[in-house]
Amino acid sequence: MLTYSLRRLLEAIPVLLGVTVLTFLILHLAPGDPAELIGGPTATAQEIASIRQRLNLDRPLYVQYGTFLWDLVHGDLGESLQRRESVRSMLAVRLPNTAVLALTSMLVTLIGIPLGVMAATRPNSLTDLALMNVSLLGVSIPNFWLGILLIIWFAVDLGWFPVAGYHHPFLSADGLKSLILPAVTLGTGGMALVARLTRSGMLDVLGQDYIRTARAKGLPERAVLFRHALRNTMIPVITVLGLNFGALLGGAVVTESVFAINGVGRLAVDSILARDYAVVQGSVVLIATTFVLVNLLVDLSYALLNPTIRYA
Amino acid sequence: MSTVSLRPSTSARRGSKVLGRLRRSPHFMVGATLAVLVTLAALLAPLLSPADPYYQDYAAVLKAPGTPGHLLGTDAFGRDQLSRMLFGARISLTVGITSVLLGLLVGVSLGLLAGYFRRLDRPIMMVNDVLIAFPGILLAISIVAALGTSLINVIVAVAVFSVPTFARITRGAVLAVREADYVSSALAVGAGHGRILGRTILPNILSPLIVYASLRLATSILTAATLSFLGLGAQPPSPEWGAMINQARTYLYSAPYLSIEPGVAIFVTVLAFNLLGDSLRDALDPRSQ
Repeated sequence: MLTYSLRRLLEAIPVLLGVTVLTFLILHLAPGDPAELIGGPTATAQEIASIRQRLNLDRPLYVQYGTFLWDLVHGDLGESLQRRESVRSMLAVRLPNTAVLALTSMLVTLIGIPLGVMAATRPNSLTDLALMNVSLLGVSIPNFWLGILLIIWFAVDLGWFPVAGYHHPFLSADGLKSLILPAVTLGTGGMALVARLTRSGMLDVLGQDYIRTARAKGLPERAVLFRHALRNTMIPVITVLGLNFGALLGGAVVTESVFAINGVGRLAVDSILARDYAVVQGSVVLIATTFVLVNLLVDLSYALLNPTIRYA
Repeated sequence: MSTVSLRPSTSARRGSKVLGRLRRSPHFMVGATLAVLVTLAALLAPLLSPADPYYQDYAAVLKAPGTPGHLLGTDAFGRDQLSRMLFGARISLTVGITSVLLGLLVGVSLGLLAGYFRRLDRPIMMVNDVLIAFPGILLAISIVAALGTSLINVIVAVAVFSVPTFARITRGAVLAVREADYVSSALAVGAGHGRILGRTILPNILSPLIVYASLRLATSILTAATLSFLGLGAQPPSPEWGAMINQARTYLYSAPYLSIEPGVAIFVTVLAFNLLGDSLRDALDPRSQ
């Protein structure tokens, strides 16, 4: 297990480096001169040259990347071109909001597991058909639109939840109320996906000989379903949950914009519109790195659940 | 020789089986009907639209759905909502189809090269792994950030977003058939690598690609609408569905239909291609059901 973990850890390093190279290149090869952007339309050629020098923009690209990587390793993500504030502190303020949103949405996603089990235990029944058709709708619904519908129905018409924003602390009645609509918006797609996957996995496993054996020896149905069938279904489901965490992080960009939540995703979009490249770079690297690390953890837990992976 | 002579009849039989399965699938029927309706709406938009989608009528601002002459109401500039939605179908389908074709072209080429030439496998898949490491639509957002906000850049961004998955699927499929007898036979009779890749391998790995392209069309339409909703894609006054929802956010209290209607259009279109993709997958590989 240790060898496998080390190997996976080593494999993640080039991917992480690649993420930094790509983010750096995408934004540095973009048309337009950041120095002119910072200087504004009234800046003189001399002022622009001094900005370029201050930001190392006059150095070769590989030197700029080297400096960027060195700073990144030391936790320095540069300075916002627009707000003159350290990107690290801007992200630090917003990261807890995004993390809380992603984790709460993950809880919504997990509801897909019992729904999938329910559908699989009554295959082709009305419940199964209804659940699977609803889950298909859940996969197809644009999450920004779902968010708007939830706002119209539950915040504007019924007044049950706030229209936008977060209430701190999260562990208070108001805090939890402000979390529900964004979490449902972000988690619905994943919940539908997990329900479909759990159902097909369960149906597959329920046809296996060891399930027949478990039933034949008189085990109660609940033990057969949850101790034998579900545990074996969970391996692909956990992988998808890990991958879905990436979709949650990406989706957070949209959900945060819909609900005006002060998170990393919304910061990234606002910074793109303001052409504040240092902030975009910092946000993208942070989100992508989190995703790579979560996938690494998923891979390791996958190996824990399924010993054949470790020795493959 | 016998294999070659048997292949057409085998594939014809398989084709009719697949068609039979599709005809019996309610999901396929619903998906195909919805997809045809959306495509017709896009093609016939100039004929079906009651008004110019850009025409601003300040005497008819924010008219509710059902108002005579404005079946789906009007927006804050007095523009006819139905006309805008019909023209929006053109934009969404064009962006979706173009970006999927572009993604297919690049992704399949990379996947074929990675799967067939062992020496290229590692470098191509390393770049691919990096692209896949960008979660959700973040890669598309980053590309739009670099290229600037416009519909053309959205097509490029959505295409790049699709490339790694197409490449991975193609590579997997190539690896599965690379050692097959018909590939070795083609090599033995002196066929070049290009011919083997294009004429021998590609036709045999089309099934997963067709299924995935159909599903990807749904994702691409959704991603493009999302980018426009965020203000990173089509810009006002374009009748792009995502951009329309973005502009309608100001009127959630007074005119919620402005947000609901284009959302239904996106939802129905995405659902149509998801249903098509799902039923195609089930028909081509019944074990996946």
